[in-house]
Amino acid sequence: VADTVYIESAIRDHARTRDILKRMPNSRLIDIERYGEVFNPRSQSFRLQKSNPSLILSHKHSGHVLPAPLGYGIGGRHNYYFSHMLNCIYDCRYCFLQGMYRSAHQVLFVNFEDFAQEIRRISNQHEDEPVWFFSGYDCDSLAYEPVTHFIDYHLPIFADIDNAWLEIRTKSTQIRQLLKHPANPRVVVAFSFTDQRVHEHSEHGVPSIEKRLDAMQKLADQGWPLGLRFDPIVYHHDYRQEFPQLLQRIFECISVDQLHSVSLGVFRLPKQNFKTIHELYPQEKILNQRFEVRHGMVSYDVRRETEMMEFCESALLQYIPDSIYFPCQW
Amino acid sequence: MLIWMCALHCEAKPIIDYYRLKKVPNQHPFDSYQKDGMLCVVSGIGAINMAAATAWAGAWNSSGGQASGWINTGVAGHRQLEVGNLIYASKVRQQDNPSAIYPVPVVRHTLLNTELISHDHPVDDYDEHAMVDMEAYAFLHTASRFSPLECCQCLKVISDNADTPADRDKARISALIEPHLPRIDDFAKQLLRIAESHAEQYLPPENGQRFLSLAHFTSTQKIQLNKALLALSAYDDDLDTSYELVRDCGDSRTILDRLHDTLYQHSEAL
Repeated sequence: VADTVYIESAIRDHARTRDILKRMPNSRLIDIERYGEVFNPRSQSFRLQKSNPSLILSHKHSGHVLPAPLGYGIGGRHNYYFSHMLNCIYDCRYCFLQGMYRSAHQVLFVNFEDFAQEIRRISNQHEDEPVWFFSGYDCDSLAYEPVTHFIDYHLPIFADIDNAWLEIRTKSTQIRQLLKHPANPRVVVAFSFTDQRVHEHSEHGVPSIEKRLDAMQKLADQGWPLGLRFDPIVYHHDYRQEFPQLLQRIFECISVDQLHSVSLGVFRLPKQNFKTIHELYPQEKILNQRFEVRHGMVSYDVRRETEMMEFCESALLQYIPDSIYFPCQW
Repeated sequence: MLIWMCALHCEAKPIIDYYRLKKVPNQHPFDSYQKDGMLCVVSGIGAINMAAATAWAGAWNSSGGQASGWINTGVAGHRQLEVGNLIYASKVRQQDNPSAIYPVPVVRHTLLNTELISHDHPVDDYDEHAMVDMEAYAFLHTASRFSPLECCQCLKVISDNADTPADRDKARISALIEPHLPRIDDFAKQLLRIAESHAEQYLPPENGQRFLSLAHFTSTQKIQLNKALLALSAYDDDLDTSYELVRDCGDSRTILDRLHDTLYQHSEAL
């Protein structure tokens, strides 16, 4: 629960705003006109704000659903993403959001109906072809669910559109709302993992691997299709021991039959994004490794990247069939 | 460094007394008081004085880009709020200018909060909801050039309202602020910790000097050296080990390569 909530005057009386504020009776409320007044000014420190971020309730005016970047997908031809929130309650040191926004406040767009309308319109555009919608690009899809009820609102929408597929990407264990709904074979709940060492070092505030596996098991028991996302794989001296151990823990709990898809990619960030994050955290270990710039992206050199991808793929394909494996391309 | 900015001596006096600050003896454009990483500057009334004093304090204290905590404290008016209330300014704008500055609420506190409008002259026709003063906007606008917005905050004590008109009774103004000093001090300590945590992003200039004396570095190499030393200082506090490692290298390229190799070893061990 945020100490401070900024509220755009246009949605002050929106039913969803009132509902959310009921769940935050002790928060300090501040009226604003547009979220950019608070979110965009220069001279803000993302790092300092992360210690006590505020919530901004806003109305999204356009761009509710956008085409997914090239190479972003799990086998579908039509890929889109949408973000009902900007920023994440977790604090992962490899995350591109740190370099994307000047502010660490969480922006929540309360006009869910406009997202739903756009999802319907795009699905109709592609008629009988499957269309993938990815949630969790600019935020964690589930982490703020007890406050937002966003997924709770959207599940019936997706159940209603025969060619719409949804990926809910998360590191959260907030699955209570999901479990209230019947499983939908076109809604994949994809959990992100890094190995134990990277998790302890870099994923501040993220539930433990065990807790996430427990959440996955509960969803699997109810029949929800699951995804595994190993992106990013972060290099360290012991990754060849740690990554297979992570896989072993996962597949002791989750049967491959319950998996819809698995993806994997090494650590990479757009050049400017990396520069901003490195300035914020100049002493951070995972940002002070041997990198090179290729095609505008900062990542490990080709030799290391190839070696990591080959090793991790080989370990992964001992558990899963090739047909559900989707390497991240960039 | 924690910097207090006040318009009036009577607003600064409770701060000076509480922290036992001493007057800075030399001739300065603004009366200043300091002790142990704390500075209190008296700007004079109005936006121009406050902007000038804040800029002067910022320039005087700037060292290696490290952030200071800044607090503008003093009195303000409000139509309804009771005289003597301590208020956190959560939104600050200049009269007739709709563009506001939102001080970032990173300090945890339980103070009342409200908007604050800075006017060009004293006012008694109060806004319906906002506090009024004459300096806060100029303070925030200027201080945030020297430190991140998170480190710049305004705390005001209500001195006048619709029932109690403003006056220039200096003793009364000091007496209104003085009882709040324990809460103001708690706020200031948190703010200082936040400002100090920002310092990790900068290498004190003196730490790099002895490395620069080992060889000729181009401007780009100086930036690379600074980044490498800042990262290495996480493992090698005073950088003595790093210095010993490179003192015989002879040229800047070899120095940088050796520092980077050491950094990679540390970083890749995770």
